Amino acid sequence: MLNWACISPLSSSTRLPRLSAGMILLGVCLVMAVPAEGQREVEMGIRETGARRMDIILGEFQDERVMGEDRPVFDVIRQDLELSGYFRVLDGLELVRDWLDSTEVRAKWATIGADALLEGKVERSGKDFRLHAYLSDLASGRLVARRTMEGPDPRRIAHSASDEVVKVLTGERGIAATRVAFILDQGTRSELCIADYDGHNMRQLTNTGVLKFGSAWSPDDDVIAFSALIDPSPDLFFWSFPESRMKRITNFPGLVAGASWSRDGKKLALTLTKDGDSEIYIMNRDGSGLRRVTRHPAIDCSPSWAPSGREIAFTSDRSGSPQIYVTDLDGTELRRLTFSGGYNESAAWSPRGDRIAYVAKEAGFFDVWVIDPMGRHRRRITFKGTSNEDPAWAPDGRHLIYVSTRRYQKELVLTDVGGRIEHVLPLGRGDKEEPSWSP
Amino acid sequence: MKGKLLLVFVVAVAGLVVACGGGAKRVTPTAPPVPEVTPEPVSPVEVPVEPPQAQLALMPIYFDYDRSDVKANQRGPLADNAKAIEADGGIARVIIEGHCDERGTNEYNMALGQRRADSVKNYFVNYGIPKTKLSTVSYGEDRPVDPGHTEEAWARNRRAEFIIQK
Repeated sequence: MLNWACISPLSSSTRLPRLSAGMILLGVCLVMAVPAEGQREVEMGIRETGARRMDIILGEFQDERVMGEDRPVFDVIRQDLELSGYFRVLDGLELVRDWLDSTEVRAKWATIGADALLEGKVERSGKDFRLHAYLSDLASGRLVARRTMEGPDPRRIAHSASDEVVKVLTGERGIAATRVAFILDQGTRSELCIADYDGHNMRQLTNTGVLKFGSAWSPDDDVIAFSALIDPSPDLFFWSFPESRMKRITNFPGLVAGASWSRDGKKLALTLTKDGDSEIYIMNRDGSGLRRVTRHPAIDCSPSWAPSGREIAFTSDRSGSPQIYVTDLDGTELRRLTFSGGYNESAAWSPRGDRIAYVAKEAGFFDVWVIDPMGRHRRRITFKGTSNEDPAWAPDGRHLIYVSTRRYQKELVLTDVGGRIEHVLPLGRGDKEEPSWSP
Repeated sequence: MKGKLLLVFVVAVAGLVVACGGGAKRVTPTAPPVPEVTPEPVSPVEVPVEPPQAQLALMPIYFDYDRSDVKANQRGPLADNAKAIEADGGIARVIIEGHCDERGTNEYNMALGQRRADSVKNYFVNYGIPKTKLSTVSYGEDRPVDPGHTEEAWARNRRAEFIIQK
């Protein structure tokens, strides 16, 4: 479906061809393999604009003509780029509607300070849609990349295009094509659901009605682990995508909760009470090789595996109140991370390893904070709603989704570690709880 | 007429609970033994509303915020519960449910609810009730009896509840 084509950079003295001429030129310039070496300097040129967000202009996509809606591809890409946190999006059409197809267009856009220009064309290809996207660096006037995407779902095509823009201009992976899992709680029923990262295309996976909690999307992208209370006590289950059904993994007495995957997808950490009180254990993916990590009569719960695989962050109330600790897998090396306030819970170790997100209660409000793995650089990142909890990291280690109680309904909210982004996922009625992110 | 309606309601509710719970039954302290009567069809609007917590045979046990130990003023009701279980030879099993108020994270509340249920179970075991008759389950913050968001509602929701299986 993906079709990469990179354009060799034009020399800096070469003026960019007209838009229409450029498309013809690109049309004959068929698929080229790996990104050309010369492209790197262009990327760097754009990246070196500093920590500020890049201004990117979105040009005409002509999608409304093909799809009979109001610019669906344009709108999705626009939101993706804004949610990426790297860009400020300028609407090319609104800026210079009259300038289209003019040689001076790019030069003028560059004078307003924009860094990049994304243009595209959507067309039908049988039942599928095809998007040709063209990305230019306005500082150098060069066309940086061209890409063609095809598929039945215009939203997914747009998400893929957005992720490529992020990759080309920043060198980082985007999250626009990722999805989130969560528990949808509607009174006495609770079900495991998934949706695109922006809250669209929601789909309910389970249909058993019983209480479910926790969700942990496997690094291999093939199952989602969660707990379900099937009499007499909860156990760990997988939702298997290949088989499209629920599979029982454990059969322990007492509580089974808090599944967290090791990065290699081979092991799970979880909270069990089978030995009398709530402790952290690790086991193989198939439920074998169970090993106890913590040994303390207090509550030990909510494990989160470090990406190194050597440590686990968890909650313990052994000090008298719930606080975040980090332990090695033997439970011998232990350090306490949080000391401020009487309620610190729900640690989520970033896939980059550099930060741990968690929930802290201050002045009666629960909010999401981040802290580094040595307990330094503590910072609050949520500010709205009556209660913000259950942070889950995106695979890029920059974005988080958390649960925010707003008007007495729990919503999933997308943010970034800088706390600059706030996007409430449009997931309809019911409490959305305990999210996790696809790889 | 009202009394009859109430009786029909109790029968209907008991039937519903049995149907849903696969043998588990919430015993109502005020209801007489359920007689065999043919329930008349009743439209839902005529059914008198009874708060469900008032129908429990065993008293709910309440807890302080973020605590799982049985506080002093709950020891009386808990001892009464233990006596009631001991006195009723027909009880096959008592399921102790641990619940929390809505504050805090789901996962910690699952662990806290479990701890509350276990704390009550330990009391019963020390009282002399056979372990084999007792089981525990946590619902965390998922099943409040009071949907409110006040201190009073939270206090009512931090509880252990009991389900009797005959």
